[in-house]
Amino acid sequence: MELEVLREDLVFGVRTAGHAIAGKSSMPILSGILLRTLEGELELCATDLERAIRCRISAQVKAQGEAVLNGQVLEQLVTRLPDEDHVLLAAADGKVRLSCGPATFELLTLPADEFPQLALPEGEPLCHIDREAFIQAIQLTAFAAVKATETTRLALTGVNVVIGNGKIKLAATNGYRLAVREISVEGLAEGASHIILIDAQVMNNLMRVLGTIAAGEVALHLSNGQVHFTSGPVVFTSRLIQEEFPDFERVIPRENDLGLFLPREDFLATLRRLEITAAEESGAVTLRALTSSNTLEVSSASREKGMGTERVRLVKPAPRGIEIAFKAEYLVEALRRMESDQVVLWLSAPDRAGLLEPAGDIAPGDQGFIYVCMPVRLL
Amino acid sequence: MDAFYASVEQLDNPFLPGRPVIVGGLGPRGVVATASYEARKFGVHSAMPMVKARKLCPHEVFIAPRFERYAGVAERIREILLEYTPLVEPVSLDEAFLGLTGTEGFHSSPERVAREVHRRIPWEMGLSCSVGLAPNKFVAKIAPDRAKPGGLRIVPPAEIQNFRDPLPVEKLWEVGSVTAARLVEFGIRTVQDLRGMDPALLAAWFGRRTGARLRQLARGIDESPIVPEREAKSLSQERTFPADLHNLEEIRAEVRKLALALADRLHAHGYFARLVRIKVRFADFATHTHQMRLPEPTDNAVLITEAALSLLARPGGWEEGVRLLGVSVGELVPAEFRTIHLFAPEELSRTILELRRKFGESAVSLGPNSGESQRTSRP
Repeated sequence: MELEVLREDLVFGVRTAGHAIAGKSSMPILSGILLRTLEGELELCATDLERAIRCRISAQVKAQGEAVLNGQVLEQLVTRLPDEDHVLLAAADGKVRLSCGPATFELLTLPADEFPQLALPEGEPLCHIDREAFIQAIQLTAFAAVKATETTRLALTGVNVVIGNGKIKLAATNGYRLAVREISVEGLAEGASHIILIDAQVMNNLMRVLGTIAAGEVALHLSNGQVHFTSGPVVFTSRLIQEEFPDFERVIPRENDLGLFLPREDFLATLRRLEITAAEESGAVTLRALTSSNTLEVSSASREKGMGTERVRLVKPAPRGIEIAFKAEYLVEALRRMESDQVVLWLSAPDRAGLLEPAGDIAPGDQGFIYVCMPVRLL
Repeated sequence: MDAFYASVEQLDNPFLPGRPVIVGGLGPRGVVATASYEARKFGVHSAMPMVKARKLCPHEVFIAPRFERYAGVAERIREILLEYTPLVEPVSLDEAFLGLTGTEGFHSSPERVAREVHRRIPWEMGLSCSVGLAPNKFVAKIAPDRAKPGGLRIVPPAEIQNFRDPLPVEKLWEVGSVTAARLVEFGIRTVQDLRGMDPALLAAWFGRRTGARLRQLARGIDESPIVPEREAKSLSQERTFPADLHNLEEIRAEVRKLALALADRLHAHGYFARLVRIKVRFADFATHTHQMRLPEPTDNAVLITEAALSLLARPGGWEEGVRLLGVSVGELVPAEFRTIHLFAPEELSRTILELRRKFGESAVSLGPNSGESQRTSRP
């Protein structure tokens, strides 16, 4: 293997593939990045068996070949290389010589034949998704999932992706709140319908990778228990979680008739203040709609810290009064990711789910977003 | 309390007083929890394998423990003790420290309180107890040892050293079996031997810190305070199987049973738990624990079961055989508020626990195929 690449291309390729390097693994080979020459290109691959990333960068290939280098070392090295345009890579005697201007390194390699075979997307993609809308959709949903630990395999650690009717719908929940975002897609065959479940941490990873790519679209392929997202020079592959996501449509309270229209930023700032005096165990704040003064009173109290109250102006008068408590964190996490000036919180009764949506002039990033939040009841 | 579980059984069954009674696991791998004093004459003692106990006294009464009943009795005894001082520190279900310093103004002298407790518990509860009164916890605990059952031993400050000197070193708190064995190697058998040792020599043998602590212990310096009733920090439920389990479905079924029993106890104690843990002991005694933190504290039987099962998903290696399974919950908080769950209604959990109480443990299970765990959470 012998080739020349642009330094900034190499930095991009290594950083992109680096997202899939296994942190702690019993298989040393998974800590590596595979470098493989293609026609006029260098391909960089990494995988932790949960996800796999391959990234192509253009290269002047002088001799074909492949080598696996320690991913962490390579990542540190390429980001600190001298400010030169080109980097030369040449394999010899089980080592890879990397030269960049005045700097030369002889890097040890891992056995390339041990690197796992990565499946490639085959045939026509299922659909094409607008890259920016997809990033926004992940950002507005993945946070709502259960944080996965090494050992858990719960359906709720994933983001559910429902594909059909010219749309994809992303949904994630921890059982107490639910975030759903719908976006339209191109090229989906009529009658096509798929439901897949992808680890939420992997989705966050995908979001970061997509954020660095200049392409406009993401192509989606499905094959034997895996999903491939292809965008520009990058293919991001993830294993699917083989669990059944709960029937989330059923719990969306579309019938709630009491709408509290609120200025998003004021409501968010108020909640963040009142969160401070919320009881530690529940983190609950109480919302009371006052029809007389056209305001929402937000209050919280804790045995250890004291209490607080604040009023937020309602954009539209509330049709009737209500008192309901929510975990402040759950509302804050959704509100701070939204972009619209106004939101509406649809309620029905103190022990029933609330539905949060963007309102007024809805920002493009919030289009098709709904958020369900369960109340806290004092016993 | 003397031979507590066995004494309660003798109390509840008119045919048992005066007969050897052995309480413990009755399966082939069970161990003795408590042996009545009648049974101890045959050489039966707690922690002895049940198989051996059966050989020692083949014709006597073997009973599986009824922890709820014992807990009920213990609670009544605690109420009695709390009449004398708020400083009641439970050591186990049948043992507690009472801090009597400074209570003279409210009751009579500590000595009279000790005598009264010693007389009153057998009289009110029909159960024998032993009482030790001393200036510190260590001496108070071992004081009645030789007077059991039904003993009362008061050790005034002046007699402490005489009382302690003849004790073997392994009786000292903080002296584990390893340290005790090393002390004996150096010819130090009793507390008196230890007290006479040159501190420099102890420091040379055991290191400066341990050496100094050993000397303090020997001189009866024990300042450990009475810590009144701790909040329960965790609850656990374990089972050792008569024969190793090899089949994952069987293992899952057992985990479900343990989790339900635990949810039941959690509910009965009025707590919610935030942490769910499982323990798996394989045939070779290798023991693994895995835990997950729930998004919200709960006593919901469905959610706790689901979490426990999801923790089982990773360990693997079932072919070796599983000897013991345990489920425990931690980070307990008093059940003062509840965040309502989107998919696991309270009513379902409550109904499961009620059916279980009414019709027995085997009446309800969340199986058999909770692998698609979310499915079980739908009503």
